[in-house]
Amino acid sequence: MKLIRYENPHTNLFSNFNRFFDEAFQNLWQEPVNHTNLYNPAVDVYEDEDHLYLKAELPGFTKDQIDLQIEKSVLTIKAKRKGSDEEAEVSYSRSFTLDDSIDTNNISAELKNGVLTLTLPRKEESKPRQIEIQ
Amino acid sequence: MNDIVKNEQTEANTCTQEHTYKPWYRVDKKEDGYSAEIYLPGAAKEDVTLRYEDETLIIEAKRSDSVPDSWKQIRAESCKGNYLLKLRLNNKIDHEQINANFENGVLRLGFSHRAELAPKQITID
Repeated sequence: MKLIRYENPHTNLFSNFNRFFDEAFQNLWQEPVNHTNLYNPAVDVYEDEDHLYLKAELPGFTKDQIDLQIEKSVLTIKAKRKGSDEEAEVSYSRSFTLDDSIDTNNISAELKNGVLTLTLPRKEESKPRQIEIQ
Repeated sequence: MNDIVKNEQTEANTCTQEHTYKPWYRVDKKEDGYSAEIYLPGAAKEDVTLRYEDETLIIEAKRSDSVPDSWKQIRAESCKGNYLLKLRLNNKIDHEQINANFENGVLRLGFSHRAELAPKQITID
């Protein structure tokens, strides 16, 4: 069996191309490379004891243009909107594999100023708990 | 690059600058001027300031989407800090007539040519 790196079909060719070179030369320049652009927006991930949080930058999208799907343990954020006159369409898709500790039935989402914040609660049984000594 | 904008910032759009960084933007040519879209996710309308000085339009925006201290970051892709973009307007642009609209983290600007530069028909006597 071979391990093949999964390439998202929605990311554009140049972004993958640039990424290839950026990764290759990153160590030479010792500088972090920002891969995000309009078609490959930034996603930050945070956690606390009870939740996992995803913050995706989706400027220009309205609530109706964003589609959130959970299938098995894969969370997919899809967004599509018309661009300005000369630009055809801006579309974006990104998937995240969630581990078993996430309660996928109670995920909530909020869109504010072009930033989508997802709150993913952890399942009760996976939260850290104190065990009392009998 | 479009002749409306001569980029005055030489800094690359990386996450290395902590305080301000250049947002993504695009400029389109229109019949009577230009339109621009500046992407400022995380900034609210009241936190965006536009000022025109020295033939340059300066766009500053403060991000207001900070997270609680209890959130521990495990993956970081976005730039932290505020936005700053300087667009040098060419002298055909009427800087008194700039339209601005801010929605869902996108600032849309409309620039028009100065009225005296509009094409004129000259009649033969």
